[in-house]
This record gives sequence, structure tokens and C-alpha cells, in this order.
Amino acid sequence: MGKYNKAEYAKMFSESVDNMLKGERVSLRAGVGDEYCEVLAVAEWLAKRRINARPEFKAALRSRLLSQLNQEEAGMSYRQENSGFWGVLKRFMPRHPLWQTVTALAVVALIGVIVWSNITPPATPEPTTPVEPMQVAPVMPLLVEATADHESYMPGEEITIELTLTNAGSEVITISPILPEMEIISSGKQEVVRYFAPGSEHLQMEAGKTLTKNLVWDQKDSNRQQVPPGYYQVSVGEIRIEGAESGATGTKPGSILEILIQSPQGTALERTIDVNETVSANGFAITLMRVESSTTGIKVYAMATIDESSAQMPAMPAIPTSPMMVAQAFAQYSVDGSEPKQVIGTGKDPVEGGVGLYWSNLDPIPVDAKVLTFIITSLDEQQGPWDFEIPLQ
Amino acid sequence: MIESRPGTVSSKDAKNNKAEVFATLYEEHLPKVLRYIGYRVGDMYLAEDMTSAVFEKALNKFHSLRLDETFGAWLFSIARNTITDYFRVKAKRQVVSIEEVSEVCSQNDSPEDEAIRQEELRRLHEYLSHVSPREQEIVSLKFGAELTNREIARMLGLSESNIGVILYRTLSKLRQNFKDWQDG
Repeated sequence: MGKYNKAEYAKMFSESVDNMLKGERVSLRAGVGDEYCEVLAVAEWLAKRRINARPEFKAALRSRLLSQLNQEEAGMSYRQENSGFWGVLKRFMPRHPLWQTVTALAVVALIGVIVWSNITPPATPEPTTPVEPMQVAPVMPLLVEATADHESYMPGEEITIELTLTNAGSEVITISPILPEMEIISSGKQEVVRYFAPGSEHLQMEAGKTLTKNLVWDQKDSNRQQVPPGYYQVSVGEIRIEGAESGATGTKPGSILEILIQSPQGTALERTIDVNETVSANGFAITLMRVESSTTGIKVYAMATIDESSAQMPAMPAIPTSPMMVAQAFAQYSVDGSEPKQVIGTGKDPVEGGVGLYWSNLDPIPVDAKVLTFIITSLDEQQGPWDFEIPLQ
Repeated sequence: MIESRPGTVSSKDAKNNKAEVFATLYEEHLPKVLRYIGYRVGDMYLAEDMTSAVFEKALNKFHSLRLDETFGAWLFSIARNTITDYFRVKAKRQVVSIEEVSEVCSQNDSPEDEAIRQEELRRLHEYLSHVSPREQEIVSLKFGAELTNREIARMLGLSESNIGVILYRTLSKLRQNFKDWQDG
């Protein structure tokens, strides 16, 4: 091993590493042994693997931080100027000299009325009714709308999500985080394919003001790979709100927006397939009428009736006799044995003899796909399954 | 008047000259924070995004920095917390900053440089995965953040000599695989 003990080696070693990291020469003491030299070689290798920041990243982050700092400073100046009684009064004072004079006279007149009414004794005491304490309205004046710049996109096209924020209240509010967290979720698999952490900005918004913030998604998942064509949900996280004057706080819940990434022309199956196949389960017969496939995805049309031949009648009162009674029709689908995806359908305009069912927003399928497996798992409380295998070629 | 010790921020500095002070500290500490996070997570894109988050949080909390605290140690405590949060949600999602993704793909670096940088970090991270999380942490704070044993000890609640021994022992463990990784 060498002539030193473990603690001495450790101390010597740390000093050598510190010198290495400073770019200084490292000298070996006599009698350190081969093991020590090998360990020092490892340290030297690690010290040389110094990943440097890209200049573009460094500059962009610096610019962003300084911008954040400037906004904070501007916010602080605004608060300092407009706090306290005079600060509040200043906000309501008109700027034009004539209107300032009128306002001042009105204030004097008001003070005069108040003083006069206090001096003059009341004629008879009037019966008073108990006054309810004034309720402070919850601070929820923030309107949030998330929109995409297009209805659908080709693969690789940048998707801009525009967040429009409006202070519909009557006081200045502070909102955070800006931007809120966002998730891109594959609609079919209900998996988060990309996550955008919340920003660290706190924004002040004047009453009645609107501002917009954009997020650009390049259609890449968390591994920087292009996501496949299909439907994706953009889930926008909640935003906290605080009233500047009232001090009341609240939270604006998040929202979801769905977008479509189309299949390029010629790569998706584009045809309508008449199926007209019926499957019965648990007292219900579902006829899958047709499947429409295009570059924007698949639509499935079906009809539900009571299977009177079945010994198992559906439970009352859940027999749907109109489209309005089918709130959710859960199904899963897969193409050529791929991983199943989920889709939720609804009741549709009545078709002759039964209740129409409709699923849209199934992902586009490849032009050479052979079989679509479509399994309706439940109609509201009615459990299936109703399985369909649909040849596509 | 309180004089600043090296690496500390006087209350006068912090109040009157915030941008300048922060900019100076940013230039000094950005490479170290980035390297430290890179060691821990093994992905360059992710390390950049998390480094951005660390500095944004640091700027927000700048007013809370105590006079006796060195900025570096304080910044790395924010970085450690950010990494802890990342590992907690690692199963489902990967943290990406809100900024446009095109920033990550440098127009000045060639694809080969970008790939080499990413691969280098990946290999480093994989190399360190052979040791325990505490040992990874100490190596990352030493070689990534370039903290002294004393600073690392204070951060982790260990003695300075303990840090030295763990560091030596960890690299001694790694030397068994070192030749393979060097040639790989």
C-alpha cells in the first residue's frame, strides 16, 4: 500500500484534487504506492472531463435573469409609488387640470356634507336593521384561455400554445407562476410525453388588462424524439392569484386543450369501411356501423339496442333510450396488435332502431394497417366488453 | 459598515447593486452549477434546464441570503433541492424549461460537437452510477461544483476528514472500472 495511513492518504489526495481543479501542478510524495497513483489517475480523468456551458445558453440565461430582475424592480417602484393613502388617491386622481379642480371641489363639498350631517342632530332615532358584514368577493377575476395557432399540424411543425390572461376584476392582481406548468399528454395512451416546468415569474396585472404568453412545442417528447401522429392534450396547470388591495387569494384551475398532429399525405389510411357487425353483452347489442379513416384520424359510428334475446336484461333505469342518456362510452383500440389506446365517445343523434354512439379523435393509422381492434368497454354504468375486429384492407 | 468576506454579499451590496452583484456571481458560479447538475443527471439538455431553474430561484430568493452565508454554498443547496425534486418525479416526466426548445440546439455547435458533449456526460454519469448516491453526491460536489471539503462537509452534515476519506475511497472503488471506461 505505501508508508501512509488511510487518513493521511485521504488528506493528501484531497489537496491534490484541489490543486488539479485549480489547474495547478500536482506532485507526488515519495512512498505513496501504486494504488494511490491509480486513484489519482482517476481523479485526473474526472478533472479533465469538465463540461463547459455553451455560450448561447449562458447568454440566453443571463438575458432572461436580467429581464426578470428589471421586471421585479419595476414592480417594486410601482408598489412604492402607489402604496399608502396617497398612493391609492393618486391612482384615482384625474390628470387634466380642469378635472383635478372639479374633483377637488367635489371632495371639499363631500367633506362639508359629512361635517354638516354630524353637527345637525337627527330628528328622531330611526330604527336600524342589523347590517351584514361586507363580504369580500373571492379573488377569482382571472380569465385564462389556452388556444393553439392551428386546428391541426403536420409532423415537425412548431405548435404555438397561446395563453391569454385577462384580469376581469377591479383591482390589481399578482399571478404566478408564469408560465404555469404544462403537460403534453398522448390522448390515446393518457401518457405524459413532454413536461414543461412552471416558470418563476410573478406578474402584476392591472384591472381590465389582458396579456398573452406563448409556449412553443416542437413536437418532440422528453427524449427529444418526434411524437407519432395523433391527438394530444395540452394540460395547462393552475395559477395562483392575489389581490393587491384586498389581499384575498385564490387559484385558477388548469384547463385542457386538444391538438392533432396529422399523418402526412399518403401515409395514413384514407377510406370508409362499412362494418355492420353486431356484438351482444350483458343485455345490450351494439352494432358497429362504419369506420371513417383519414389523415386526421378515425371516427367510429355504432348503435346500441337492447338485446331482447338475452337472458340478462340491463339494469333499470340505465337503459339508454336517447343519446342524452349515454354520457360516456369508453373504448380502447389498437392497430395490428399495437399497444391499446383509450378513447371516450358519446351518444349521438338517434339512428333507426337504437341509440347512436360516436367516437372521434382516434389517432390516424398507417396506410398499410391490416386490422383495427375496437373494444367498447362500457356505456356509462353498463359494462361490456363489446369486441370488434375490423379488417382494413 | 459590514465588509464583505470573499464570496459573501453585504446588505448594502445586495440592496443597492443587485443586478451587478448577481451578474458577477452568475459568471463565477454558472459553470460549476451546470457541471454539478450534469454529473448528477447525466443529460446535457436536462442539466441546462435545471441550471436555469436554479438561477431563477436564486434570483427570487436573493433577498433572503444571510450575511454569513457564502453565495456558492447557498446556490448549491438550491441546486441540490432542485435535483432532489427531479429524482422524485423522474419516473413520469422530464423537466424542461418553458423557453423555446430551439435554444438547446446551438446553431454554432456542429451536430458532432453536440453529440460528443452529450455522450461525454452520459458516460460520466454511467461511470458514477456504480457508487452509492451519497458517494455520487460528494464526487459531483467536488469535481462538478469544485467545492472544498469543508464546504461539502457543511452541506452534508459530515466532518471534513470524513469527506476526504469518502472521496478517496469512492475513486478507489471506481479505479477497477476505470481502464474499461477510459478505453471505451
